[in-house]
Amino acid sequence: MNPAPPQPYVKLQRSKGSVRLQFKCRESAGQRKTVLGELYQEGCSKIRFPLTDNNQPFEAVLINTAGGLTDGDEMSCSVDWQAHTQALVTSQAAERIYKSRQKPAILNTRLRIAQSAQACWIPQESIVFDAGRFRRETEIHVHSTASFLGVESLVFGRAAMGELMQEGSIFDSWRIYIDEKLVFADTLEIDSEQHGSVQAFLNQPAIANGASAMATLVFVHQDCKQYLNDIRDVIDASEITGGASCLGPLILVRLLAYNGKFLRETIVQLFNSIHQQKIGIPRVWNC
Amino acid sequence: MKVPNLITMAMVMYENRALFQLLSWMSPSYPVGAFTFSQGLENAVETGLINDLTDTTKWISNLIRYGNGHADLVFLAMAWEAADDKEQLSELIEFAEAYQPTSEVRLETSAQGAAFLKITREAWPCDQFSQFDMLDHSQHLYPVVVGVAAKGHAIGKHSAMLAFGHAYIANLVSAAVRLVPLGQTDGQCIIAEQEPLLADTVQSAMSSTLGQLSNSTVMADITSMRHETQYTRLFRS
Repeated sequence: MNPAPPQPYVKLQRSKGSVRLQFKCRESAGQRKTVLGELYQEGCSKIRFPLTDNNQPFEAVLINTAGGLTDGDEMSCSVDWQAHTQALVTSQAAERIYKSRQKPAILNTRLRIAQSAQACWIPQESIVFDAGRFRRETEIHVHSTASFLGVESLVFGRAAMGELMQEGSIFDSWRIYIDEKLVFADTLEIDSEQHGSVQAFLNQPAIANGASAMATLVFVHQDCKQYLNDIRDVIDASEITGGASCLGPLILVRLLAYNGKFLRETIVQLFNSIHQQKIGIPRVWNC
Repeated sequence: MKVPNLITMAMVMYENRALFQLLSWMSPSYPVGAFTFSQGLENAVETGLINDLTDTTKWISNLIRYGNGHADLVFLAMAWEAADDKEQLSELIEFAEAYQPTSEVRLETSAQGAAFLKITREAWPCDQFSQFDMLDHSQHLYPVVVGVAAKGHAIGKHSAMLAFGHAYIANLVSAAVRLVPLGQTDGQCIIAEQEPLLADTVQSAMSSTLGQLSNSTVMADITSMRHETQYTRLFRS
């Protein structure tokens, strides 16, 4: 019997989403208030602004109405914190990177933080399903007088279903500029085509020592060194493995966990510690 | 015939001289203080990630292929190419400095780089070293200085990368021998075993661009970070 002819790669409809968000500062009676400046939403990307308690900063929640990402999808996000604004951007849910037939999902993030602004970029984790592929480039421009807290977490496979990530690829790059000088460059790359089974690769001791979830946290602040000990205390007291180092005007934290839940808990504790318990993690993280 | 013989003689002389220089520069006795750095390996041993010969071999292989070893080779190759181009070199240095993930890794590369520059300027001077005149010590990144030195002395890029890679491995093995501990001969067996991997990594690094450069040694970064607060330490990194 003749084998079936190879199926042609059918070009299916892809998700595209784009958001542009700008926070502005409005002064009245000597008080500064952060308000929405520009807002642009296109395709499957949406932003919503939940009401928050008085002490909480202005909050924006990103939503991917496509419900996940897969091959050939493209998402871009641009956020601009103008001078003296204070605002936090998070996501409504964990991003899901579904199995890809061939191409990666592409994500582009551009963040700009002007003088004396206080910015938080804390999306929830990206869960990469077996055979998921994505490529993310994040570029951040911070003014030297501003502060920026950014987190990106990755979970490989779905533990509750017993799914490990065998095939797939992740290319996750960060570039951080302070006063337009490159101060931090990092690219994580894991690719089953080069490295073999993803979880087997993660099992290697210098890679992730068997962890199936990881996160990178960056804290940019003129006096960030003062925060280092408290950050380390949080990590040491946690259930997960991690470290923190001061690289001049920024602190880099790397976290590895065998359990996505513990990873989230530690991220929340780090957020609380850096904000000296004055503001809390967005409610959407608890949904 | 005389002419081909002269050319061959010149080539052999060049190769011999390049070998002589690389052997000097990458020798453990070249006083850059390499023996004081373990790139976090000391913490890996302390926290039970490395317990024996097999663990050590895996760890070092990971670092060469997927971590700082590979990154350093890329920087060396690019520095070799940019040795005469002030602007290109300056861009490379800015990127390479930003790419160091922990303060101890930064210390390790800049301390060795600054020492290498200081010694080599005297013992093996070349014009290209003036590229570093306007830069801070923190920007004298070891693989970049070595790449410039190699180009300045007409040493082939490939040879320079192999020699640098070898020294990288040998220094980690030397740290492991002291820390795990391992036997000296076992240490040499680890080095010998890394040869094909280093050859592959050098090939891949030769054609890598900065945009393609990537790493995945997250745990190695963590050990370097944890080393900063390790209670008992023999090494500076």
